[in-house]
Amino acid sequence: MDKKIEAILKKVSKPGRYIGGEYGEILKNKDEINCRWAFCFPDTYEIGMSNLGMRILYGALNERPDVWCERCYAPWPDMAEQMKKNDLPLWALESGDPVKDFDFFAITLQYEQCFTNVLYVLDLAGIPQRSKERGEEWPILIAGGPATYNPEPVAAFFDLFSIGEGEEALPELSDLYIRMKKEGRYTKESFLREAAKLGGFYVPSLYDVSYNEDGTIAAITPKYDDVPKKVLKRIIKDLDKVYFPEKPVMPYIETVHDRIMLETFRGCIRGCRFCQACMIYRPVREKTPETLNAQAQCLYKHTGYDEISLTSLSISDYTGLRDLTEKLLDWTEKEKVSLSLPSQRVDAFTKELMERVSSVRQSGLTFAPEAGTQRLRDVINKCVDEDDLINACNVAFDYGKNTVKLYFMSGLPTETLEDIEGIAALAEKVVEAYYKNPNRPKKPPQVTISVSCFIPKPFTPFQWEAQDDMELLMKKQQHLKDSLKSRHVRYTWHDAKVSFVEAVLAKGNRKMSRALEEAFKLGAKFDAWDEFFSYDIWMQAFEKAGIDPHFYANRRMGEDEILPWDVIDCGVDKRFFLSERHKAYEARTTGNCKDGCAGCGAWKMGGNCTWCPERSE
Amino acid sequence: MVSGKIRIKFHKIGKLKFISHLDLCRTLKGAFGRAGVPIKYSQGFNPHPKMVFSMPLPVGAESVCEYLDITLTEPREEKELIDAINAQLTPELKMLEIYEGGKDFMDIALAEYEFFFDDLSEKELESRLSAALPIVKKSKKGMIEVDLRPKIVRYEITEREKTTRFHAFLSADSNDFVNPELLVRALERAGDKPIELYSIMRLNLYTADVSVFR
Repeated sequence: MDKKIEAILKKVSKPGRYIGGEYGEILKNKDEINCRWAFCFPDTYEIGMSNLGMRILYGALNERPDVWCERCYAPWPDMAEQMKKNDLPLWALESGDPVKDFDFFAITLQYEQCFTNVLYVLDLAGIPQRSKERGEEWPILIAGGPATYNPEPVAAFFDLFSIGEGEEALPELSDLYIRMKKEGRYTKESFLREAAKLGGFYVPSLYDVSYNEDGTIAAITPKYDDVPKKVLKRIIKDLDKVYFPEKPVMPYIETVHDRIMLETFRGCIRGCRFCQACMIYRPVREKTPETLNAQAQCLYKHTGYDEISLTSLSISDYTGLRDLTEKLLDWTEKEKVSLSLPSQRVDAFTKELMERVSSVRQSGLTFAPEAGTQRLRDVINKCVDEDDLINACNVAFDYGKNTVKLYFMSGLPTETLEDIEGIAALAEKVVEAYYKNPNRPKKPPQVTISVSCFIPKPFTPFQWEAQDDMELLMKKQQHLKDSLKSRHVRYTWHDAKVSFVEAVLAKGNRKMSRALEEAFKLGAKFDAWDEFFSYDIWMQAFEKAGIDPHFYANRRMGEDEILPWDVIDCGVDKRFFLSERHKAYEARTTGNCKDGCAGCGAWKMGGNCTWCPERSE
Repeated sequence: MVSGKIRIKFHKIGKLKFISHLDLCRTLKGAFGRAGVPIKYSQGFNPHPKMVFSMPLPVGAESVCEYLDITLTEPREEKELIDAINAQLTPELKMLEIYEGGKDFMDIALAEYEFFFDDLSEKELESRLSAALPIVKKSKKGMIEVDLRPKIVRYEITEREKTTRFHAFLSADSNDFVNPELLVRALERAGDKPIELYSIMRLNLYTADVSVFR
């Protein structure tokens, strides 16, 4: 190990974040490699190592013998300071080579609050931040992940974006790169042009965006005829056959999700109108219980973890849940491996399910009614009622639980103070139900309500909506506090300032890149961390960049307006979002995929979809 | 064959010196699990494998003489057991020996270290060792000052190609354990330049009668 690096590792907190060398890391001989990827999660090692998507893509890229994908994470500011002081540019963990010397530098963007960390890691890597400033000598910068469905706020920094699922797309991109290099026809420009034709890749430099006088978008135009007008996301058609990492890298230091993550299915049958994840991961595709059981056994053998978490957007909607849990419990009980089922819906939380997961050391149960009144729950298409919640809580109480956590959102479209009072009333009904339950434990109940602020997100029926202005959000927070009477109810809420900045970034267009640069210059980084987020910095940055943040967050967009993210096609039709929006205003619900196809349009993507009607081709 | 309470000697070198004790425990627990070591678990609400370690090793220091006691629920062949565990680890954390009937950890009295300094000359080091080396330590009575100098039982200094080798035997008695990292900090305070380029390696442990601990 380099002596300089050793010396600085002795000075920083948690040096284990920076050493690599974990059991399961993939090492290759550089001489046999034609294409090197540095794959970065722009947050701490502990958070990045817990991301299943990055683990999958790391493995999928490394399947090919002449491609080597390495990992890197955002160094904590104490480490960044030492790296700067000692002239050490950001390196990849496996080889220790500077990422600026790689062929590809990939950054996964899971949330908008990590946008400034893109600039932060580029700065540490010694790579120019704007794609325009990078010539042939620099790596190709690519981003993917849910926060790139609207790539425009960060479009100035990346050469291209991988939209949708990347297990097949990224190896294809490597192939194209290697092929063009071998044939001697590679230039960055020609490569990007070819990449745009592969499908699922958005190359921002190949599109012109023009604006109307009022700041809305006039047109998004491809510069060439062979560049797709809209970039359709990529999906994996058969989840039973797709690459799956059997031997994960085992971190030395404790990470956020230190357990087996078993991905049961992608997509969501529900269709809550505020939820972006539900829409962008459609159509729903499941793995079979047989595949999952085999993968779980394989992961157990290779990790030694004693907990398996069944991941998905809503686990109780998994068709084979009963079959799968039976298969798993067959061997997990013997091996002292526990099962956990996060993402429970109240209408599916049953005694039977509780019995199956009773072996789990769960500290408490969490449900998400999202809104306080039936009317507003219908507006957002949550499709659960009060009885569902009370029943679910009673199941938990029967099993000796005395704590329940309830998630709500404030600022939802059409919300009134009455709906806010409904949150308090609902929490108190849960307390009441506790005391009425004869099987309750001999402890006082504790109901925690956690209230976040609604953020209108691209690719949802609420994408056109305005966020409540901050004053109103704070007024609602106060009103809820005043409405709460029971001492058994604890109330926590999200900072409206954070949500406001998130809304601005989520709905931003290409002009936002300047604001990000200004914010970074003013010191913004790790915005997802309370200790670093600074509202003042953001307000200054918006001002310096000549951006009115309210134009993005608090303005209701016109239904015929061209949206910044219209260049991306997430599979679900814009028409569907519109009709859902209109139904929301009438408080009419839409059934889930199991009830019958609601016609969202994602079925046209094809594949082994669980609920979609057959495609006739 | 070994069974019941067994002792494992292992090394923790290279990059692995930056792994804390807690993370070492998690790593070993995972490796033992994957290797199918029939390890005895503690009783209680949150059972975990019982592991007892010989002595603390500061983050940043390497060692080729770490000891760990575990209890097997079934007998195992030594070599098979070592190989099975090492197959689940990277070479920088490696099991070296497994045996029954190790000496009591309380019998450890001395630890042998090898320090290498890039920014401290032989002469400089000698002169710093000629006076007291006070450090401030937390004790039951609050913060107290302790002189580390008398706890350096024996040493030898050599210099080669601008690197100073400091070979030292430090007190390692359970109530009088010298943390080698703190010794470097005390040496640093005895001069006016920071000591940044250095390495620490623990080579051996000894009992009070200066026989090798195992």
